[in-house]
Amino acid sequence: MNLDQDVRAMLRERADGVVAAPVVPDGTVRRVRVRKALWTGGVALGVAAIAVAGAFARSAMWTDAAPVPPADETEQEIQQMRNGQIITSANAGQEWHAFDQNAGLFYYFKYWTERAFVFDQDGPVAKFDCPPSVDCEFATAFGPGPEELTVPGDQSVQVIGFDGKVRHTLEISPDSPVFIDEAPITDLAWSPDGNRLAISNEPDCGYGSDACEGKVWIVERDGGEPQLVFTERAPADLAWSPDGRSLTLLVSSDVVEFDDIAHDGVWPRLVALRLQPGQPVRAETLHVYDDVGLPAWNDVPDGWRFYFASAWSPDGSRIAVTSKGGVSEISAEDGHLLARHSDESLDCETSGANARRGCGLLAWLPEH
Amino acid sequence: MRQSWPGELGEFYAMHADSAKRLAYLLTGDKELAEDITQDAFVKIAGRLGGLRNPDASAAYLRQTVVNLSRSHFRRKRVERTYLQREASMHRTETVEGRDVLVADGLWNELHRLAYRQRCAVVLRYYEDLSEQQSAELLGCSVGALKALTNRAMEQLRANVGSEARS
Repeated sequence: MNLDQDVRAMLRERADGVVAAPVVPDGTVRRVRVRKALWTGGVALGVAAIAVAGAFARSAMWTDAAPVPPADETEQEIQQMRNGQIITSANAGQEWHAFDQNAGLFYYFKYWTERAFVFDQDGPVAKFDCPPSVDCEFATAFGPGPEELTVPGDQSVQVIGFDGKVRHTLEISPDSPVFIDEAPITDLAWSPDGNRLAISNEPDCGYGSDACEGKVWIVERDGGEPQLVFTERAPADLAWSPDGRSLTLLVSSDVVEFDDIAHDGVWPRLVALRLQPGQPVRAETLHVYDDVGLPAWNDVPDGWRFYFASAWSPDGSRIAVTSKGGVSEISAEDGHLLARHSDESLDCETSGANARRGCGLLAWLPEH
Repeated sequence: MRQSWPGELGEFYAMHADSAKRLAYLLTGDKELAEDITQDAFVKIAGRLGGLRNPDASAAYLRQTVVNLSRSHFRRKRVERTYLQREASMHRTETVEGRDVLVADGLWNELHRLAYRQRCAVVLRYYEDLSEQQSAELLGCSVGALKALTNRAMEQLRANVGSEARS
């Protein structure tokens, strides 16, 4: 076969007939999927061509309505935040990408303007344009120092200030195994004392490829050889316990075994890596059950986007995890169910027809 | 002369939305997602095009935005992984009419098993017909790296489609 010709022909065949949502005579796009606020830079472009307006978080809805400008981004209020309690990005009325439990700070990156925001319960703390050399969106972590954020760069990990300026690059060799295989960093998390950085990465594999194996590494603040502590598909949502002795992460499986019975379906698993000094790393799966003893993560229908998230309690005794019907609080020690918070109480939608929305991300605010 | 926005944004959308969606579809393998990416790309464009000095660069900027957003999508998969896997399994059963269906299906499947940058290199070179220099600039790498990406991708396609056809 002539591969060049076959590839060219295959691409054209596949692309043939793919058309975007049409434009109608009044200049608006009919049945546009409302995705993002159009009102950027104070330029009232919304009334023009693309009716992509309004705030909408992750909910996907179809509309022909005229765009409505959201409040100025500097005036967004962080609503309903409560100290000493779990909050979700659903009930906070504001998304975030990272949370600093000690400082009570949230980080949010608005990817279509490439602008980063740091805010607390009272409002904005800092905003800056992301430096061009780094990726501010996906794996940003607070730390290691105050008013610092850590972000992936090109074959590097870089520390930037709240002013958006690069302060320094962590001493991890570009030849380190962390950076081989073009495996982008998917998450970063500093230990509470700021001395160790957990890094997860995963190759950019295609759909369903068995070669996609993610890894979790720990590297000392001063650099050195990263330690590989976990290998499985799609490790995500790295979170240190407040005492720095455990690191939790979420992975997903197509099949899990509960009570010696194999269950098909959507099975995110919370894994706790126990990191005792001088001891080998021990990985424990913390299964999450609902209040009647059934697995709390089943029955997520095919094709639904469901956001799984977790957060440690400030005292380190509990972990909050999103699950069917709301959020579960489980024991950080053995995973047994301690409390449940319903969808209604957290403004989540994890069951029923609107379960695509989920709870968003979780944060567990300290008592003041 | 600078284009007047947003007066011509609708026209720009009409001219380029289809090609943007096709590119997004080839990169992601998902038509609904490609529509989302196209919309997002125009949102981004809407906020930036007024500042572009050269309106002729707008199409290239749109292409760059689609490539970046498609890559962003793959990085978001950490929270949407299951959805993607299930969607992908549905797409893998799609058929292609005409020509050698088995080869075309095999190529499509293998294309989406490539690393994103490799897949990008193939799509930009073989579908968008961009030069090596243009493709390299779009991917943010050297021409040499672009050649290596393309070669590795084609070798992998050749090996895997060949073995699939033999089995």
